[in-house]
Amino acid sequence: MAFDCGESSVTGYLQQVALQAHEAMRAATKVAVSPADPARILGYFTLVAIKIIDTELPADLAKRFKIRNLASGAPAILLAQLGVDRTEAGTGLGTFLLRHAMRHALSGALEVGGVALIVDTLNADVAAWNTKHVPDFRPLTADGLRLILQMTTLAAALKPAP
Amino acid sequence: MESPKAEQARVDFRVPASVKARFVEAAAFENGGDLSAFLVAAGLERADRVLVQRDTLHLDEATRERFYAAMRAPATPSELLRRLMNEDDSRFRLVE
Repeated sequence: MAFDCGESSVTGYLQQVALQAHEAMRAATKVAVSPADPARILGYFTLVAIKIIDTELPADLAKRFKIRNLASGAPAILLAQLGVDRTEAGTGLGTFLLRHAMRHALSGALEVGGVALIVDTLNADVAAWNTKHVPDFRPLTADGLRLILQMTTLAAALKPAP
Repeated sequence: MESPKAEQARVDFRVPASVKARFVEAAAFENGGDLSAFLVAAGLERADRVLVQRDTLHLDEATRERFYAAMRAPATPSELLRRLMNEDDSRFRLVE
């Protein structure tokens, strides 16, 4: 049975774009399977390295980032896609994928830098699902569909609670 | 540049005759009449622009304050985030 998450753009990305983008190293896609049936894709996520650019930078953040401005960009990780097959809806696979997407984003940020995790969501329901599981996400855009979480918060979440 | 032996794929779509006529006219001017080469070049140019847009987030008036507020927020994870990051689920496995 072919992967189908019910959203044509998310299903289509996995079927038509993900492999090429992964092989060209433009984006990294991981898929989730069941150990009992590893040939069948149950869900996936795609991470992309992006740059956040601005013409200025507040003094306190310039000091923290140790740069004068963001003209050449601050690195960040974008969770561009996350899809769960229709048959797995409500099983907890979505949170499994979100957890691993965040762990991989943090791991990448620790290796090559990344000040924030940005999440692109398709609609208000998907945005609400993300903030329900991770209330630390904040809206970055006025429509609330692009979310942001600073990477230091993710790093702190992996440490034992004080 | 793709090598000549790169795997090929077909793109099929219908357009109004007037749109095709415009493509043909432009291809004759720019690509020696090679309509496919013209459309591929135009499509790739647009795709590159879109992907650069995706890969580069320019802060504007609407997003600047939200971005800096997020960066200034205390790095204190919620209990839900802490739990989510540290749990595991053996029913699923992640592969490339």
